[in-house]
Amino acid sequence: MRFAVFASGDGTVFESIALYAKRGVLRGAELVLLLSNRPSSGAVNRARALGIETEVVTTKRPDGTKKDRFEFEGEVIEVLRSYGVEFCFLAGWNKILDLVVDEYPYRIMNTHPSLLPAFAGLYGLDVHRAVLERGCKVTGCTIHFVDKGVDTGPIVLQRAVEVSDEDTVETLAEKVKALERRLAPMAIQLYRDGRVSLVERFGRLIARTDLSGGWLEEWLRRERELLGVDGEGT
Amino acid sequence: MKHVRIAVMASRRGSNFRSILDHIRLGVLKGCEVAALVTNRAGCGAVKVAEEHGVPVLFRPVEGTPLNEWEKGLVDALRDLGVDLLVLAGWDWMVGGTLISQFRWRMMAIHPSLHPSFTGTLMRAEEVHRKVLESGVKVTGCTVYYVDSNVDTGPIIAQRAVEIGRDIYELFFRDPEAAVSELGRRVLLEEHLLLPKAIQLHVEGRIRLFETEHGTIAVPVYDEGWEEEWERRQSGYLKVRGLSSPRGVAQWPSS
Repeated sequence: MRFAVFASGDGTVFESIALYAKRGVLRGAELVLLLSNRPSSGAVNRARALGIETEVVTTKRPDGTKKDRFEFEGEVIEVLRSYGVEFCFLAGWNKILDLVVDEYPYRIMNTHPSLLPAFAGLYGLDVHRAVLERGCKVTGCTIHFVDKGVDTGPIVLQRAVEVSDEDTVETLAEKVKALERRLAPMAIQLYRDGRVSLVERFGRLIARTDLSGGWLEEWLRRERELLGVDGEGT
Repeated sequence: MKHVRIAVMASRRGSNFRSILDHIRLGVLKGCEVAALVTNRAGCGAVKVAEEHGVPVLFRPVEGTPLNEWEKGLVDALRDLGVDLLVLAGWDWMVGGTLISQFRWRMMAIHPSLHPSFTGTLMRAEEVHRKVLESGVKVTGCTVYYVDSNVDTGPIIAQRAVEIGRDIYELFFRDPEAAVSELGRRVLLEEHLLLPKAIQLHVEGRIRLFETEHGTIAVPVYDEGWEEEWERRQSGYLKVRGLSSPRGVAQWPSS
């Protein structure tokens, strides 16, 4: 399976996915492209340093005017086609996609740094700020399929982390990122292995995620042996 | 030091009420006592629990009395009993301004979801869990908070996460009601551990309240070793209940 990662920000989750692919933890899935909308983002720099094909599609034309949705997303789709991309993972991507979602129905996943449905619609540090302002004692991250809504698609994986009385926006962001760096490659492998299916119940699609039959143990073993990642902690 | 006197308000099975009594009886929860059970349902499970444990029952039907009047009467009765803290554990009726103002930051409730997800006025636990499963989330939990309005918005004191594994969803696809009750059972086990902890924090005066532009936040202050000591004491409760030691926050996926 040929897949692309979309990133607008710092690119640490992207870098983790790249590392999992390079070390052979992630198998049967080839990271063929990093796509960004920001030419000088951390993600782009990391991709270049790692020798991963990088494409930048900005939302502005060379004359500084804003592209409309058809123009911007049309260019994205063209890039994806030219790389033969079959699956996309959004790792800190800050643009709403519509036509791309039509082109790749339930073949795009996103990582969101909260336990959805809580704190949907926010991005980056704003999520953690909102968590602290609400006084939550537990937060986490969510990997979900992208549909036409904002942070509404079927949830594939979620993990929780405790918020301590000493946490700041920054420390919380780092805790959650540590979870995302492990969950994102895992979600891609699950999809690649045909272990994520969609079931319709009460008018909604629910993702059925299957880690059974030794799948999880095998994944954790590869993480441990090839990356030295502890099987339990983060 | 004077014991903090608690009144528990419950309308249903009373399993959280029982857990509070067990935690006190076993010496896990210290510095407090249960002065009364307040109920609006004559034959509910909570009343039986109170009778078994010799806890006085204030039976106060709510239907037919304006809420304000009903609450004024209750506040008087609670004052006579010297109640310092109100704990809503499966209370199925509205809470109004009188009770909220008289017991400001002295009234806590438990809710079977991770706030701010799946909140809403007067949702029964089964309805919450049904909504949770219909939404397809993989993590839910429970929240203890100070009641400051009639919806589930108050400052969060403590939360615990519960993983919803594949087994629950497979059951949900075959038999939704069975899955709702199984999830309810698992979350309830965590509620039984979380509510006494929140009460202990309150009793020890460890919960600091901060006013922010977004509202009030509750922040429990744990001294070094407090949580370890609490867990050590609570393991006594787990042993009596025949439970293995569950971890609230599942840090990593299991199948």
